Amino acid sequence: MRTPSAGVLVLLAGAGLLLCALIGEVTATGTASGDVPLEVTARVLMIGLPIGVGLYAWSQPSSARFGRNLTLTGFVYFLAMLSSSSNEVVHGIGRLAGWAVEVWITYLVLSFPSGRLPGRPDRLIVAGGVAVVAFLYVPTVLFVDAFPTPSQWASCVTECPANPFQVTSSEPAFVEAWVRPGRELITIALFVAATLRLAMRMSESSRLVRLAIGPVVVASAARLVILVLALGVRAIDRDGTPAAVLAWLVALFVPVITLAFLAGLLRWRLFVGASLARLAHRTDLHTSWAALRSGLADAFRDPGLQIVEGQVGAGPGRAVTEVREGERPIAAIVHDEALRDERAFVDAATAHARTVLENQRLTERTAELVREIEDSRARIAATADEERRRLERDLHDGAQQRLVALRMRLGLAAELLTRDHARGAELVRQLGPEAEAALEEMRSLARGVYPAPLADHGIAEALRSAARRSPLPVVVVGERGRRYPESIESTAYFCALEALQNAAKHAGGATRVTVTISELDGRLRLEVHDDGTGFDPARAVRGAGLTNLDDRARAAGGDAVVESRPGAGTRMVVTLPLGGQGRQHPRP
Amino acid sequence: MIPSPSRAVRVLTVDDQAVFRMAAREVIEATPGFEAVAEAGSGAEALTLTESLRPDLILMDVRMPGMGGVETSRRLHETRSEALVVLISFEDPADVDPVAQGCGAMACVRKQDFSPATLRKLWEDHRRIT
Repeated sequence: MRTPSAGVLVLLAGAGLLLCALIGEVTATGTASGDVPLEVTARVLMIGLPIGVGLYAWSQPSSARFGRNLTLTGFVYFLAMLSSSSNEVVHGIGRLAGWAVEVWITYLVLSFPSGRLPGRPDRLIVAGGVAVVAFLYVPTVLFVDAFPTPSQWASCVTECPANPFQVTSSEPAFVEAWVRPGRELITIALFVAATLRLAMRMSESSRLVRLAIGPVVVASAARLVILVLALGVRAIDRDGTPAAVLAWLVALFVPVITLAFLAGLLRWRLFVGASLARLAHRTDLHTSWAALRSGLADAFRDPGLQIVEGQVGAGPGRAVTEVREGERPIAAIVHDEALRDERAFVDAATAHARTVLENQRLTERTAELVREIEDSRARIAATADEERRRLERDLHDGAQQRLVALRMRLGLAAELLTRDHARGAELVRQLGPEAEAALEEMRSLARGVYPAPLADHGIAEALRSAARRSPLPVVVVGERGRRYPESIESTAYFCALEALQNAAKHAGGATRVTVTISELDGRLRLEVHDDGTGFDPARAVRGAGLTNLDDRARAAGGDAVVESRPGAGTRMVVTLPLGGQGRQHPRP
Repeated sequence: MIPSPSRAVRVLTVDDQAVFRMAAREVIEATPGFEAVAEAGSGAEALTLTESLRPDLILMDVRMPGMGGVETSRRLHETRSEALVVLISFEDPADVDPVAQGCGAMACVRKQDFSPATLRKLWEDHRRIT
């Protein structure tokens, strides 16, 4: 249940103070025996303490319900205090209220500290108490001459006001003989049951609950003893001093039990504080779910604490705190029921759980990225190997063959010149074009490795040169002579080449390709746009060429994006970082 | 079989490169007493042509895709072909020899050293005497 706002608490505290003042007044002017100041102090404590401690408990989420009940008790005690009055009716109302309060105290003791009765036995005991008051106490009001004295509620001893509710002319004998002793015995039995029940709960509960209800058990047991004594002595010698003293002691136990509640609540608070401190000392909480589980279990002394995925139901004495991300449940923490409403625990556990999840996600993402990088690297290495092989093949199949043939023919020519001069001379003449062809092969090969225009004049010129050899019309827009770092120029050049080849191969109906080289925010921007048919990106299969392009761009620290729509052409944009600034190539 | 002067030595050239085959043909044709009867572009083709044409001398490129020169040579050796097999290679013959041991080829020659003089020498050094 929600805790009241500060304003409400202050209001209730003010009301409590008012009542204390009132009861002081009533007591001072009512039937008094002995010291007035003593009595006033005692009665003010009996009202003020429950209200004060009750408001404190009400302000904590974990004991809010109990706190509300305890505060209420203070106000009800006020009614019971009316038995100090000399007015018959007021006194009568006070005594009736006094009987109700006895049951109420039992209820408070059994429902501490959450404010809910934890089990069946508790509910039975309270029900029994209600039954006793309802059937054995209240109805007798109609029959008796006066309320029993002495009583913790009445300050009068001998000159008590008569019972105003009596309807019969005199008291029936059976009330004195049977009902009174009977109900007192049952009342004692119920108090014994309550105290035992509390002691049993202590042995079954977690450390936190034991800490909280320990003081209450002690106070309850002591009160029981005093109560038995008081009732016994009252039966023996109603008017003697011991009876009056014991009646006072019983009355005193109301503040004492309230102080026991306070002690329990403070021990609870200290325990939670210490637990949070223990939790804060753990450095490994976020490494895994198991680590968090063990951390929480140790810190809060709850060895049975579990963290499970998804949703789960709690067993007896356990509660479930769900950790959510928006609407989605991430995990469920099964823990001691007592911690269910403890804000500090719930907040800390939830925050840590979210961090564990975040950590897991980050770790997975990192692993994924590492895998991507490794794959990319492997691809790049494989591509490099492949290109080397291709180069070797091209050299072997092309230029090398020509040179070998040239060599053979030279040998032949040398021999022929001695034997058959004309034929030899003819052969020598043929060797010229052969040498040219070999040279051309080598030139073409070199262009494939690193084109001369790129090395000499920069990317715009190199692409213009490549454009001349493209089957499609290509326009290159870029500053002539603008130079960039070698690796950037090379990457951009080969990416553009790949894009041009793709356009030539796949762009149906393209009339023109535009290559634009520009700089933007310290990055080189290369765009190749064709006005062909385009393709549907969702359905296109990524070829090796595009993957290679992407790998190259990423390896250089940039990225490549290919956009296309059916009917809207294709556009490839590669952006690459420029470490320094691009420099203007000095004109020779 | 010792070729009589009236009969030319029939040579089969085996190489996947057309450029070399053409150059080799020119050399063979320019060597008196030798005749270029056929060219094969692969080891398989070489086996078929050897079967049908029965050349006297086979110039076998070592490096060919599919069945290489050494393997083809081995097969020919198994079929007891009477042709003289000479391995031709880009690389140093010293690198080729260990691989080619026992495959049946009689010699190994560099491509660029192939000239009429080489051709004649090969034939005279290694022809079989039946």
